[in-house]
Amino acid sequence: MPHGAPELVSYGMLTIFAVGLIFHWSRRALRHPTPTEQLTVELKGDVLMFDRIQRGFHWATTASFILLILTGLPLYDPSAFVPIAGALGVPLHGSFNIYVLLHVIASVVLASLLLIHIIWDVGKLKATRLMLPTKSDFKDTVVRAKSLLLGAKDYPRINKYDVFMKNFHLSIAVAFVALAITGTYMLLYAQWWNIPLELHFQTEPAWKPAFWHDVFGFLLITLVLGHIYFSMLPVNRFIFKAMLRGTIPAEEIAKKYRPQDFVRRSKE
Amino acid sequence: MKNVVLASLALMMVLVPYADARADVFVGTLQEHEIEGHVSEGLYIPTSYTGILETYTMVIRNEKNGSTAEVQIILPQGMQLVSAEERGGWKVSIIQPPSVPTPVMIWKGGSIDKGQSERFVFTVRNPSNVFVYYFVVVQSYEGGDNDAWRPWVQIIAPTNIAGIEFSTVAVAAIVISLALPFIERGLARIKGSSPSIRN
Repeated sequence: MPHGAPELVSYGMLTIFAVGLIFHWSRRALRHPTPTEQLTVELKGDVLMFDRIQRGFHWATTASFILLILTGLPLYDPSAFVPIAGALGVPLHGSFNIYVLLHVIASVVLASLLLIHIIWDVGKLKATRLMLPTKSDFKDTVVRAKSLLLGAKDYPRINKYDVFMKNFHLSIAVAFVALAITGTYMLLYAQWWNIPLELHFQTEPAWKPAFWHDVFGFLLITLVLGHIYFSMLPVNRFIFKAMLRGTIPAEEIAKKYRPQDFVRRSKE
Repeated sequence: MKNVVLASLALMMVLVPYADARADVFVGTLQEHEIEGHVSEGLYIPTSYTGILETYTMVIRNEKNGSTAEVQIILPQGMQLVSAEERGGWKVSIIQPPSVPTPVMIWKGGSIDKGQSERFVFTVRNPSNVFVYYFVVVQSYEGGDNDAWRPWVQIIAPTNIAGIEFSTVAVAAIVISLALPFIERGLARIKGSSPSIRN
């Protein structure tokens, strides 16, 4: 749409990040760094990594996010979706109201899921500290950057959530808040999908909610792209399985993690 | 003559309401077809990119009994006129700023009979800001009647580079990046090894 984010910005963000992932894979697939840091605690058996509430939240969020993308992208770039809509036999032009309705429903579902997540992980499990940055995160980042970019041999163990995962979590939280604010504003005060195209600009206030909604929407898609990439890496397959079953073998924790974060959960 | 144009321009800007677009703005060499009524109601939305040289084709149809004897097209603010074509007996005169606020093209000498249409082609340098821009078209008939309306074009930021859409590049990069972990799994199976720490 003319008053949204330029395609160079939105698709450019995705392209640059995807190229970064390709670079990451090319460095990692050819080299096999193993932690040079010693293991301090030994765990046995299967360790609980994600409980039922966390797993349910994760997959329900995935489903609502897929619906958000499938309804949001046609609203942003209808011309790119014309062949897809034609192949599937679904309406596109003239049916934006349906896409908006489904988009809003998915976002309400997502907001409800986030509320459950906050109540459970923050209120019940008191797991906020797992998401806060620590001194070891900064040290680990420097060591890992040297390993990735310069081929240095030192390689640290990581906490249950390393600095990249914590940044990912913080970034999606910020993106969700920005999307909620801009999306709600457009729904209430600037329903561009209900007016002729040439009048869209006249509905926009100076702070341009449509532009920022697009920017943070594509930021979210970029982050999820990275999440999917790392979750699909063979080395992380036990973590992926843990998101299905809940537990992870202690031997896998011993391979690359600092077990302290898992000791607490294995006692619970 | 200049005073007549200026007076007409001032009158149009103040008095001419937004009317059904009876002329279509086509971009470059896109399929030249005529759309009845509002251009925006059809699937085709006139679109061009910021800052580029673009050739517009304005199709003027005569729906009245008298012949169309003169066509004036006034460019929106920010659009710079480069050239205007003469064809089929129509001669064009151009008035550029500062004598007028925005460039004006006046075609005379030809004729459009009832039920017929004529194409008026001109080249401009598009504005540099993303927005919807309105032309003003005045169609003058023998006998003194005038019709005026405001067809529009949306000017957007570029969506492609060297003819390749940004969306296509992004999709290709995403597909490659997400395929790599599966390629790694496949290679590991072929080699018969289990992947070690590689993160």
